[in-house]
Amino acid sequence: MNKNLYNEDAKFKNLINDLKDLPKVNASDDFEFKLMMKIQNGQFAKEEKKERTFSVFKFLAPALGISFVAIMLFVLFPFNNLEEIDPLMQEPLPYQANISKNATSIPNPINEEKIIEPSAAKEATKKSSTVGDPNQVAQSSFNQIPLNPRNNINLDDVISGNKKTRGNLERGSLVSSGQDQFGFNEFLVLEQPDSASAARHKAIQDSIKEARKKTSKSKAK
Amino acid sequence: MINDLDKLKDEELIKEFQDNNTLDAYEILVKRYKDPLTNFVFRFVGDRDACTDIVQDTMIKFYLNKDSYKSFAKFSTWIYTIAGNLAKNELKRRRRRSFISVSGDDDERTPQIEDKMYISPERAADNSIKSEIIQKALLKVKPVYREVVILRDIENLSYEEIADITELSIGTVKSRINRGRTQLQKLLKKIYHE
Repeated sequence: MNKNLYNEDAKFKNLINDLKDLPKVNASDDFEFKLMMKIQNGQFAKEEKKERTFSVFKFLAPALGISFVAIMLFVLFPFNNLEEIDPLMQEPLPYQANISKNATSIPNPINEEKIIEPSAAKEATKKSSTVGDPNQVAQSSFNQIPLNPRNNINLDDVISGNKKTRGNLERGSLVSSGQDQFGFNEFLVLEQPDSASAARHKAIQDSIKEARKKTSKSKAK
Repeated sequence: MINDLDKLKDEELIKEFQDNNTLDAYEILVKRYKDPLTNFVFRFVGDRDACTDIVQDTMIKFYLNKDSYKSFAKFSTWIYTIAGNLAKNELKRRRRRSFISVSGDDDERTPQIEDKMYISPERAADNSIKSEIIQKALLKVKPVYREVVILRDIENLSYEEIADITELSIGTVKSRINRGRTQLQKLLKKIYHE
């Protein structure tokens, strides 16, 4: 064993000699002074604290915080409820238009009547069954239809069959998706009430009634 | 008083420091070991500033933990063990730093540039250049082999002492020294023309 070791040392003779001949590196002259200063000032306590080992937990806390905030954002702000409204498909809002008009111009008795509270909608519906003042006909028919402009559909698409799917919030759905009044499943033609045409229609209806009365009387005779 | 203490052995000095908290005994031990430890740590780490800090830390640990020294062990092996462990920690820290930063200053990469350089025989003969080359080659040897080679061939410690410092068996120490020398010789083949 010793012989083998001797052989090993002989094999590396030059290397060992070179390593032994390496210049000795000595401590600096102020080594002891600095050391004693550190000990007297108690600086070693700070240096002990510096020696922190690497740990995964150092990154775990901020990662957990970020993921918690992300989850809270998803819970508090559900992005799938955001509605995308196509501005081209939007109808002008008649109520709002009238409000703004009233605010700037002289009050129009016809337009003023259009602004009706939802609680008064039922009374307005009852009035619509009787025909008195020509203006009332147009007014009542307008008030009966509480339409939500968001529920519009494109008629062209429906007729041509391009629109295969149908959303719950579109007009015609019986479930009104939390709205107070469900949509009206018919076409709506918004017209400004025309007193002349209303009078003409009334005259036609009166003449029909009179004609019916005459025919019934003649039949009775 | 100091003259009397100067004559004492290392183990007697630390006993005096442990029992009576004699600061003079501590200072004498610091004076005796500051140079050999600086040399050992410098050869192991390869950085003068880091080496000074490590040896200072070693002495502070010795001051703070004097009672952890047991009288059955040699003081030299105890203090070398502390310095060796701190030096290994420094190397680990550097490796982490170079792993995290892509453009980090990896000290162990520097010698590779030196290896590719042509070294003329005149230059190689120059002692300072030669020792510089040996030091850089030494830093390329695996730390487990490097430590034992430095302790054996530079610090001239016995196999038994190295076994105590590294907490390895003598057989393992010998085989590691042999492997370390082989690695070092391969790295220095330009000088030794093998």
